[in-house]
Amino acid sequence: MGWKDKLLGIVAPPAAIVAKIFKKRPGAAAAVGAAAGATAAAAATPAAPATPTPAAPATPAAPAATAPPSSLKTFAQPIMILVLAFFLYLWLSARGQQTMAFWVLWPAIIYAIVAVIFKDSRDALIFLIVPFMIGVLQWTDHMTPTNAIFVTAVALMIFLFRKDKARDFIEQAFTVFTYLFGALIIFWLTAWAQIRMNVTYPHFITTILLASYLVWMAFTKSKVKVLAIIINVLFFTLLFFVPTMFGPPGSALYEVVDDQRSAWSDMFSGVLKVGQQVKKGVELQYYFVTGDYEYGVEADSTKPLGVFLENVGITSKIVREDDTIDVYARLRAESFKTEAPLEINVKCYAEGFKNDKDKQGNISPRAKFDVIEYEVRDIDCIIPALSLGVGSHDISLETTFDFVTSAYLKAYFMDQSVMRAIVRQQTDSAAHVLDAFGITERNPLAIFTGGPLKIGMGVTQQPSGLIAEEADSGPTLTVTFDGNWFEGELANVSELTFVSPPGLLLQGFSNCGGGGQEEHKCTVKGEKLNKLLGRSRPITLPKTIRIQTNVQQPGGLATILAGAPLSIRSFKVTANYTYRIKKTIGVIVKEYELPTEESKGVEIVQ
Amino acid sequence: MKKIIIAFLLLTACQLGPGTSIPVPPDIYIGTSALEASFNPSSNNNIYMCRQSKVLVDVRNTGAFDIENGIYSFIFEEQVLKSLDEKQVRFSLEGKSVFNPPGGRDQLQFRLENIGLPEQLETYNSPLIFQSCYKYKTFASAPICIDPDVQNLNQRKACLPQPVTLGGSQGAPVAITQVDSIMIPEDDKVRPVFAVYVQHVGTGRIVTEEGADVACTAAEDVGQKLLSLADVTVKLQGRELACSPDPVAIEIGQEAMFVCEDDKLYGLAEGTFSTVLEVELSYGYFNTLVLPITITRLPGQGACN
Repeated sequence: MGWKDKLLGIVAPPAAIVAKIFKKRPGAAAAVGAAAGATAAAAATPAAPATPTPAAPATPAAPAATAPPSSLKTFAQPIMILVLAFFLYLWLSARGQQTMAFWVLWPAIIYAIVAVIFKDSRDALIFLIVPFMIGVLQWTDHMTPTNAIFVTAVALMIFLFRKDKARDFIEQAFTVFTYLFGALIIFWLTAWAQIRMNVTYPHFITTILLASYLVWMAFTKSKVKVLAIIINVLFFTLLFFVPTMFGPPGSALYEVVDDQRSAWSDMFSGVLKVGQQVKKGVELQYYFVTGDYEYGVEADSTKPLGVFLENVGITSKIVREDDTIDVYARLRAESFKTEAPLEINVKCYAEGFKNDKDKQGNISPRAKFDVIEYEVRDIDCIIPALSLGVGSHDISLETTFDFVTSAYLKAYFMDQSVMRAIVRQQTDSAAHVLDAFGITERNPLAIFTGGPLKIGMGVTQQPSGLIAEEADSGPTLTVTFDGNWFEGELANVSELTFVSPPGLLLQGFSNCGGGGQEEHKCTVKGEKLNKLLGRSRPITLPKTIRIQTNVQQPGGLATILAGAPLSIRSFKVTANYTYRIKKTIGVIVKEYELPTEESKGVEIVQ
Repeated sequence: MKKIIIAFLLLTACQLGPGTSIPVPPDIYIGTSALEASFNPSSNNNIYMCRQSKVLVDVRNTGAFDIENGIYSFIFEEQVLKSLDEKQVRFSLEGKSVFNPPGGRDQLQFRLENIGLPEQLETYNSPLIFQSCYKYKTFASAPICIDPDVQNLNQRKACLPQPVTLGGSQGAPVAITQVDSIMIPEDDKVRPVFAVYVQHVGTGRIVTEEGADVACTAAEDVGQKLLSLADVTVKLQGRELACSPDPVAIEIGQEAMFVCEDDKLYGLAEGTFSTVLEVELSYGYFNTLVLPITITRLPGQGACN
């Protein structure tokens, strides 16, 4: 037996009395009483169905239960319940339980109204559960207006869901609403949850929910698809470009929106970087297969070499237009002692206005540093907010620095005839000439020093078999310049130095020194460098250069081998270049607000 | 009486004390190595930039042949390291013998100095290769049977020509592993033919005798000198036999064979007898050893002066 039936059993007898009083439709009271009796009987007989149906005519009252609701029933039950509720209200009020009394009376009134409107006094009984739920809330100290409304709304929902038309309508309305405003709902609910719980949760949850919604929206047929697209485009545009619309700067909501925007921005950058890396990987494979790319490995170092902008931040993300924007960072230069000092220049400006002097900031303590080995400086970029104007801006902190990257490639040299003699006696096809000398590193990789530039090198063959009389038996050296950092750009190369071992001469260069018993060293700069690397600045990477070497005549082979069957020598490359890195941070410039009369009147008392 | 007592004492003098076994000379013709070299653990293979370092190499001739006029050679990257001692040194080292069972030993000292590192480089690794090149020989004596009675008329022969296995080594990196005796009838006599099997069992590399120097210096025309060929000398009863191929090519991990033929014919009148076949292989040999050297820049250090 259901609770409604029990309740109906209780209220049925008085209802019958009321019906007698009205005497308009004599059968009505009997019907009401019969209905109540039927439900009561069903409750008393466990085997009988709880709700009387035409298929269960076991009890005499069953036919009456299937009868259409009479107007007497429609009014009698609500009136009885209203009367009872009213007396209960009075009793509770007398006991001082005003809230409870209120929540007893109101559901009864709602019940009565709903029962009359829908002509369904039975299903409307669901509203009578509200006082009990309120009681529970009060008992558990969870009684708040929101919770009370929630309970009432649930009761209403349950009632409406029992109506086919209402259910269909709600379902359709809900679907359309979700279809149109799903993104907003997800975003607001997650934001609300964050604010309520005062915790930041992984932003990818919101992202996944939104992505799921967008996929659902894209693949679901709907008459309002165009509208949904417009709403979403509008929503995301406003979210990204006018975040202040969602909440005033400094408010909790604004912070949440801003965090989410930053997370998406980082995510987008990450995806972009991954995409770039994949593209680069494919390109490198292509270059490698076509022989246009040489690899290298970064030398072990106890410190990361280069110039770094760290801890980039802003003193205030929201600045009044009469104030100044302060972007700070730690500039750290790490290098090993260099022959000439490394020059570092720092610049800051509003993004998109690099060359607009009005929108450039002043760097404190200074914008230019000379570094010999190691330097750490805290720098500040000060820009008057007024010069940027009200609104959202990106401030770029840019450092341009000179740096040196060296690379070397270990190369093995042998007399061609000695090499052939050793190869001849090797019966194992997997054996290598260098095995005879206990060398396991058959094809050494170039080693380059840390920093923003990567230098890869390779020679035609290891070991290189040289012929004393044939000058052109020297190996071809291939050098590849590529970016070693994810960020930044190669602004310029001022000088490249190539060094070959004694006895080998680099071909194609004019500014060379050494030779004979010394290394052959060629320096490239100026126009010759432009021919090698191209004229465009920043220099597009990777760039590969091929250099032919010749065995010096006469005596070059003897110099290289120095009386040994095998010689270990190195090719070296040194690049002096300028690199540029940039960090961007957002700031909002607020309009200056004149002090109000009230604020003027505020006096600070100490 | 006095003479009798003295004579008694003289006769019993060696037998009165506790019994001692007669010392057996060690078998020096055992082992697969020739020159064994190793870097001494006290060698300093970590060099600071612009500083010196000393490397010690322990060498032992654990083979049965004396090395004479061999060459030690150090190979290193001369753009980074400078030798303060001779890179190539001639040496001789006695092999194992009954008087010196462990073989001769020596210790070499080699000093190096770093002459600088490329800019911005903190550490640099480069190998130091130690190479020893020398001439070496393998001796073996195989008991063989000369049997002119190929039809087995005599059922009670002193011996039968059978393959002789010589164990795995003769105190040299090239081992003679087996000798097969074949009696080839010619008229009513036989011509002894011997198939000798050899194998490279050492860890180094074989070159020709002339190539022993070249392997370490590459100073002259290499030609065929670096091929792994061994000259063969086989003697039977003092007579040198004609062998083919001579020199024999001994490849790494493979067994090589050469055949030697006696000029002399043996008839039934000479009977069946056992004798010794002396086999000698002459070759050049070289070993290599690698020591990784690490050069480290000191904090704040610039170029070397």
